[in-house]
Amino acid sequence: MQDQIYEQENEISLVDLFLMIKKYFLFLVAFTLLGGAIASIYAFGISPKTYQADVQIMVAGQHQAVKDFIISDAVILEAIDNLDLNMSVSSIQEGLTITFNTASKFMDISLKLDQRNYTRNILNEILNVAADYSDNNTLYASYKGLMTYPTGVSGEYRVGPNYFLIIFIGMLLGGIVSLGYVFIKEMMFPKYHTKEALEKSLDCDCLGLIPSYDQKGGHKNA
Amino acid sequence: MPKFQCPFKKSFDFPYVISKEKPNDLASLAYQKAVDNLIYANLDEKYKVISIIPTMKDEHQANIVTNLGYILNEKKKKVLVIDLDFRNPRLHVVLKSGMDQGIYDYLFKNVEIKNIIQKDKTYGFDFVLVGKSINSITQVLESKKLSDMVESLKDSYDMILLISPSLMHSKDGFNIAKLSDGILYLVSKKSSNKQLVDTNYRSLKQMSIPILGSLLLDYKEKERLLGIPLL
Repeated sequence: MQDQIYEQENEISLVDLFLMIKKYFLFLVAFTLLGGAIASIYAFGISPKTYQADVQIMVAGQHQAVKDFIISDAVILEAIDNLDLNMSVSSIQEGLTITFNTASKFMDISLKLDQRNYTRNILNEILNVAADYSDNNTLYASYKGLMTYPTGVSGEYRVGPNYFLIIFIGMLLGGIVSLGYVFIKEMMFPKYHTKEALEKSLDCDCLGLIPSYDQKGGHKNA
Repeated sequence: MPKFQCPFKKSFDFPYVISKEKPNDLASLAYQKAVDNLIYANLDEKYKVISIIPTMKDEHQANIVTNLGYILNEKKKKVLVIDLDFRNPRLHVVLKSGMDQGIYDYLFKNVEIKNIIQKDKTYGFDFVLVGKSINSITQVLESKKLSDMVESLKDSYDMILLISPSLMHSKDGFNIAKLSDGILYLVSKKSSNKQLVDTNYRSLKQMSIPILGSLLLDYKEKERLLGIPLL
């Protein structure tokens, strides 16, 4: 019976949890902000920026064949050579996304890369090479007239990283870690915070509450 | 020019007895209230020898006992404070007294009791210091000679306060409790571990020595003023 009472007293109540958060409120806020700050440094300074360029071309049928032609090694390699880039074909192929609907005459092409100002130029060059091959290269003569490139690549924009998401995750992690630390500390080293708790647990009267004071009589916690 | 004070120096090294220095301070009032409650708890004056046993990390029990002794003396009680903290005696620091003679001289040099009792003119109570350091502390605390000394002093004083080291560091407090009629249990809100407080309290209770009550230390001023138990 006595053990049961002690077990009950060792449990943490919602009020205790609330008081615990209140006690360490500044610490929790500081740690959460620190998490946000670290995440900001990562987001703005360390994490690679990803940029994307989009273009829409018109296709006169055989969508899949046009897609395969645009992402072919020959076209991309020629584009890389023309721009004199130090990039692999596969890295561009990975970033190239071509979507279409066979019922539609339009095909959406987007290129996503980690380097600024490259996506627009590369995508532009790929389409130029594709058009050039289809018009002037007898090997690719079957693609002639299949695609029209009316508008050109308008521009590029940043698609990653998501600053808000990273900072939010950083703050969330900071909050969770600090809360976990506080919780473990309070659970591992619990203390009596009130006269009532002390009296209830020890079953004896608390004769006084003595505030702490320093050597000059000033109150440390006042 | 203000004197430099090391910020890491422990507070109990500063002999500041707030009840004497600032009698109207809230901490002094808290001590007065604690003494009043102690007197009420000992209404029949059955408990002449009271051991003050702390469970906290910061050992400023000598300062606490000096405050209690001073206020008891103000209430016309004849008080004797005995420092039984052989491991880290601090009473002489708080009272700014030299460690010339003490319990060591009574136990090992057969000096008479009356010669080791000193009168403090500032705080008004009598006190006994540790004297020279003793290695066999447990044996000394369990010795009949020490228990006879405390017993013989009962008739001369209204209250004898025994200073004990923290139960956090040693088990001397249990032996000191055996010398007393009642126990005042010190719990720090800041540094006393709850489980340790419970365990030691149960151990003290098993000794069948009445526990007069407890003192909750390191309470925040704001809490007292607002009456809200904030953390």
